[in-house]
Amino acid sequence: MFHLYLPIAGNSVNILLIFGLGGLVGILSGIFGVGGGFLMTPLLIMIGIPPTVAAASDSNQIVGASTSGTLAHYKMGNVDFKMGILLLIGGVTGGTLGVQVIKILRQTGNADFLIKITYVLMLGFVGSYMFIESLQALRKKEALATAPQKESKYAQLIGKLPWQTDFDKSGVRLSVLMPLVLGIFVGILAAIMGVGGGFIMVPVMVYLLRMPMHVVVGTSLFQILFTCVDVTIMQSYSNHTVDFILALILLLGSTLGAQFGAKISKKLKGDQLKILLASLVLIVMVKMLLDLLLTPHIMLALRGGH
Amino acid sequence: MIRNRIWVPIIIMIASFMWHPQPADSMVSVKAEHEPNLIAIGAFFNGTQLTVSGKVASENEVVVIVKGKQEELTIKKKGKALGLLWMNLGDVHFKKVPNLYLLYSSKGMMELAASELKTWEQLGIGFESLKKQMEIEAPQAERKDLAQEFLKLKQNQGLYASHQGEISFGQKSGTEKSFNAAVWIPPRIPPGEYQVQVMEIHNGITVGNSMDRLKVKEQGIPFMISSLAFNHSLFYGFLAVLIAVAAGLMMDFFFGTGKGGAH
Repeated sequence: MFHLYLPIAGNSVNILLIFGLGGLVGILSGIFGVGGGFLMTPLLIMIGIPPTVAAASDSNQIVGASTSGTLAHYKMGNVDFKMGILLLIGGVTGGTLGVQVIKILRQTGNADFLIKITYVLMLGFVGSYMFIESLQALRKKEALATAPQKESKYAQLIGKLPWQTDFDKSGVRLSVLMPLVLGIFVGILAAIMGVGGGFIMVPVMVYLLRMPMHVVVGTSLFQILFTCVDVTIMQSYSNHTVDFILALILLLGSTLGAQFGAKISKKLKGDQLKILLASLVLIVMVKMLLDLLLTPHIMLALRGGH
Repeated sequence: MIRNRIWVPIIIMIASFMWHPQPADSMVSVKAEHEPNLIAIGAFFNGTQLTVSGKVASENEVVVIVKGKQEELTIKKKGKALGLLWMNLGDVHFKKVPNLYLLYSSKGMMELAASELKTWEQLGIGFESLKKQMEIEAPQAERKDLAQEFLKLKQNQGLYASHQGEISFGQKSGTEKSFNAAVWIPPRIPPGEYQVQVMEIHNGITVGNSMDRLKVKEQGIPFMISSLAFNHSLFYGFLAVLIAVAAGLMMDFFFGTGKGGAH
């Protein structure tokens, strides 16, 4: 009952389960502007989809969810196209560089170890920082004492960079170099870690580009859309790992979920959003740490996946 | 020259004495058949049952093996880094492993094989024989554990199974009795050709054997999608993206808020 056969994955799945999974990840994506690959790929592997197919079909699904999410956020005025395109150019450049970096890393051996540890530490650091910062901000607002803010060294430094331009939607004035360079940085990291990069991109936009949280979510989705279009086509072409039937069922769930997510996002305040995202990041970190610490059930694993 | 010619028939004679693949002298062909002969993987395929039935002498036991072609696999090995953290530590190559191995027997294997366990392993019956046959590119000390883990992985996927004592016998008629094995074909079975082997066992010795083929083929939507994905991969990629974008647009059209939205 309710089973469909997936020709590329070479296995059958329960439609309702996959639909529900898509919905859940779509909601997260609409609220926080992350792709949700960190959650979806391992869950798909758990229900018997080969790791390479799980990752590739997931990016096909994210194309749908982020189209839906970007549109919803666009209507709320939350997408900074100028910033998004600059970040995207940087991201694609960085991703290409990252693939080369990982080749060199792998040759030195123990690369996987370094990558996992770096990832766990980074998630831990970013998550904790966001959590504490937004908690303080929430408390301060109640006290309502906004002393005239002193310009930090960081603000002074980025103010001196050439090619300053206005980003209207985000309400910031920055050098064009900032999003480009940060995009490259996130692209490299994303390629090395084998993840979409939403988790790194969102904090970078909030803290380093100083964009308002709601615009960050919309712009991040816009950017993820293009990254995943690229990944889907490349994976189909060179590895034949995109299972379209799987992606389609996920899609139906996630595009719907993304709409609800965007609505929920609109109802939350920026700092509330940040604190929720920080909790999510910390949960992912704990999960990864547990994977590293607990004895695996089977000592062998199929190749691919994150 | 003459001496060379004399050697030829002698070598052939010696070789023919040495070559006896199975204890074939008293081997009979088992009357067996399986239903269906062709398994079609359609859009709703979720595994299926293969019925293997036939007749054997009334005092004998039966073993049925459904087996796929041998393949090579590269699998990641998990291990402890720094004595603390579990992670993938390099690849292991497995050679000479069948892509499917489903064994059904009318009694426990140890009981059936009796004192002939060694011969059974040589004939490739049972998991122990698979372990002996597979070639693993790893240090000698690790191979035994790796073989065991490999079987565990394949069993988890449903592609290897050993169902002992799960062949039922019908009424005896004269010197014969009928047998019936309900072989579960897992949804993960790769399309291709498989062997259905039925062995008749008497006191640990294989006295009868039959070998037949089973075809597994994709049909309908799965076939269409597979051939598109493999033969027109670039087009397939673009199509997948287009449909995903269209689904996103459609959801926004039906469920999205209008411009400015509620709030």
